[in-house]
Amino acid sequence: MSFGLRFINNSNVVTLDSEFARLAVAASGTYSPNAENGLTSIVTFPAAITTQEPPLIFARPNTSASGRAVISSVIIYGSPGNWTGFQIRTRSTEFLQPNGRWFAGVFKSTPVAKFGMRLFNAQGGLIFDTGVPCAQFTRSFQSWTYEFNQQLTIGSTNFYSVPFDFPENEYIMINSFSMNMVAANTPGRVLSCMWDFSARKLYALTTGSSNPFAFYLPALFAKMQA
Amino acid sequence: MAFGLRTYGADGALQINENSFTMRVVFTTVVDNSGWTADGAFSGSGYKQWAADGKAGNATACLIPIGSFNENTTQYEAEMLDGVVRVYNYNRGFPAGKVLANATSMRLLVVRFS
Repeated sequence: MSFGLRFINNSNVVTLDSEFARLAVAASGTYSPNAENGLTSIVTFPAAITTQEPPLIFARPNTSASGRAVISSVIIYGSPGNWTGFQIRTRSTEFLQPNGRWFAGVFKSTPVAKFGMRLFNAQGGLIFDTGVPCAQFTRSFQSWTYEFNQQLTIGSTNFYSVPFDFPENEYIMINSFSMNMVAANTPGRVLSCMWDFSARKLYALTTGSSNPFAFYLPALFAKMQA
Repeated sequence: MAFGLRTYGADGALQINENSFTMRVVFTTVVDNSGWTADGAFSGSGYKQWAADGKAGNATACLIPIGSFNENTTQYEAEMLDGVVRVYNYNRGFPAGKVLANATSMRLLVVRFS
């Protein structure tokens, strides 16, 4: 880089520069049960998100003294250039209702701030605006660790965990939970994510009628503010 | 703070400070369901790979569902290696399953965080 701005953090890692767009927070809010007798939450973005590809949705169920919150049946609503919202469903009436916080991230910026700082890349594209804060990385995992299996009439569910101690400001990226993964038969296995507040443990769940143990789904966590 | 940069939003809330790690895309492409390099696990199974400036310790490889899909669609699987990102069309830990992912295409993001 021959011109512009580069900001390096206390760990000698580039936090911000005028070369790359960062994942930016395009919208945020809360979700609460509003469909399917309280099992499902359907969120409408405050304004449609106009990227060609769907925004990355990060969610954080509200902390509860006990019980288990589940993020399943993730659907992102809209079409290229017009993403309008998303849905989260809990697992059943035996689990906590879908209540929590979310934000939507996109790899572009928008000129919204009336004051502050804007950065442009060498091509003149806006890549940072203080009105559209960067999402901040907190942790990621390449895969999850197998814990146990549960057999129910709906199929076999494997439970996997990653080390996570439930910080209030950390959200998990849920787009990857919206599509099934390969199993030993054609429908594959359905994915969900369970926040066990009783045991203070975070699980990924895979459910299918022929369900392998091997499971490689990245887990990506981020927060909105420092 | 002894040195560095902080940004604040219009609400006065701190956004970035001297300890922040942001996320930037160092490699991205749309992966379609063709051209897999066979790796011998079973007929049709394979991978594709691309050079990417990252490794497992400083980047994560995510596959984002794009386009239309349904409750029978299965996703590809990604692995971040040293300088290389690899995408498989099957479960590499379960070749005995002999089932291929059937998604039409997915967005691959290599997100670098340090």
